[in-house]
Amino acid sequence: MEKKEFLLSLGEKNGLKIDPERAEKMAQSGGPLDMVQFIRTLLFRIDVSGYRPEDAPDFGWKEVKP
Amino acid sequence: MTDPATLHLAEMCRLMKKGELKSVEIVESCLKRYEAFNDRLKAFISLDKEKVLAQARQMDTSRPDRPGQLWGIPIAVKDLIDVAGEITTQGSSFFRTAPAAEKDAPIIQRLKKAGAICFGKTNLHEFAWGGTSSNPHFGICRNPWNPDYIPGGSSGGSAAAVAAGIVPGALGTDTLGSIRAPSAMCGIVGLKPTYGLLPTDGIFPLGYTLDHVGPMVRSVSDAEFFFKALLTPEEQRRLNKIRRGGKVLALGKKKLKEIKIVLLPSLVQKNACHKAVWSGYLKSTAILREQGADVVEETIPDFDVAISTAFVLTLGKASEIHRERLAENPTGFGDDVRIFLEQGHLISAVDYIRAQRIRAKLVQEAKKLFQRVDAIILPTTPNPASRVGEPPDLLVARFNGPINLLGFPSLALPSGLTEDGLPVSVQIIAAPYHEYQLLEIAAVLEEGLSFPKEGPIFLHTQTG
Repeated sequence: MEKKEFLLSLGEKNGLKIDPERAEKMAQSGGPLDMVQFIRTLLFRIDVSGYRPEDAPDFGWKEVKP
Repeated sequence: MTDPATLHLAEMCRLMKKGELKSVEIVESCLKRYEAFNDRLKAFISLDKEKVLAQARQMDTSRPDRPGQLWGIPIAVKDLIDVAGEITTQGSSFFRTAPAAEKDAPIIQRLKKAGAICFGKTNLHEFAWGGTSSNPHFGICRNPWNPDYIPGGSSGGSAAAVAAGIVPGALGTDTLGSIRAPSAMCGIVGLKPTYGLLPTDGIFPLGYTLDHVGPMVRSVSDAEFFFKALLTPEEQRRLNKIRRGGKVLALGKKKLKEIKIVLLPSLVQKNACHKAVWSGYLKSTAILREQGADVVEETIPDFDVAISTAFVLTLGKASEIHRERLAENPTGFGDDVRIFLEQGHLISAVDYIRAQRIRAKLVQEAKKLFQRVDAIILPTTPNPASRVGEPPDLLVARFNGPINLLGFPSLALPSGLTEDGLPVSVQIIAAPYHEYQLLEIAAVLEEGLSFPKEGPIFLHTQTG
């Protein structure tokens, strides 16, 4: 799928108002779509074997006993 | 007599305690500076002048025998934080006419318990999602060192207000560097505490588990004073216990002789830093060495992707938070924020889970590193402030965002000026809950760096 069509379809699926003109702008080389694609690529270069997803860091504050 | 508003926070408190200064004198002086500078700087979104003056008078007449640490001191609050009876605009058109907050955010409850006067709500990047504070709805916030430049963001109004001497301190919030980057660009000190230590309820979220709240002030001793005032007695006691269990700073010329500090040269050199930023970084490391610190080069495996990871998590969270608003009224957002929110919809669940796993890995790796060392030193931002209207610096969060991902405490400290007279900064990062040690190291470094105490020259030309 062309980048522009992808963005139009994404907008429709998520109820976002992305018109063809905006989709074209976002799809430009080096634009917002490319930026996200680039960042996503970086994430998948990392070996995360053995690590489970973690959202909030927990530093064991409770270990510091009163 | 010295203009009370130009005194540092800790000095104000000392004089108040001795009975040599009154809250009303401070507030009147702050209001004068507000009148002189705010039209140009657009640091504030709202300020009820009569209300803060009345509060100051009342606090002078009702000062208890054992007042809170910040009794009668005016503190500005980023307009992302609920203060009872005031609208929290979040720098957004969506909330410009929202009902006033019904209750104080817990951090404001703590601030008021310490006796502070909430001195207005400060301007910010819309919804805290950006680094310029050029707010399309409440005005372009400007840098007191040179109003042609941005103050950074998202807590740009808080930084500008403190740097301009309108207030001695302000509260900011920090998801990808929003306390530290504007502190760096405005030549002040900003502290992002350990994740979860200071409560973020009642603060409009941006990245939930990346969000922090903390003090923005003009010196390290002010940061320590303000930070301690925000802690509960139990938290103070626990942090003290951690501090006592750690390494003690030495007396004499080699205060840091027991301290091991890490440089991450591969991370810093890989990214083109402005020459003044680089020079401030080198100067800082030289001072740390002079003070006896063991300064070593280390790496954190895969740390290079930390900023991308933090960005993916923030994109996803922020876009979920604003999903309905974006669908119903996309033009209600400034264009830069709208683009970020649309980008968030490009992040898949698979991406998000990968980012969470990388976060787990990096936190573990950083914990391992801190078993051997006491602190990390990095530049705060790769570049000084950019001109108002220029495209935002995409690298601005390069060194800050990763620390939000880790959740470790970090303090931004002015390290010098560019040839054009704009501030640059370094940040020191410590292990979780080691804020007191972080502040001690920062105090030693601050003394060595000798950043100009007189503040922005622009302001002196305005006041004659």
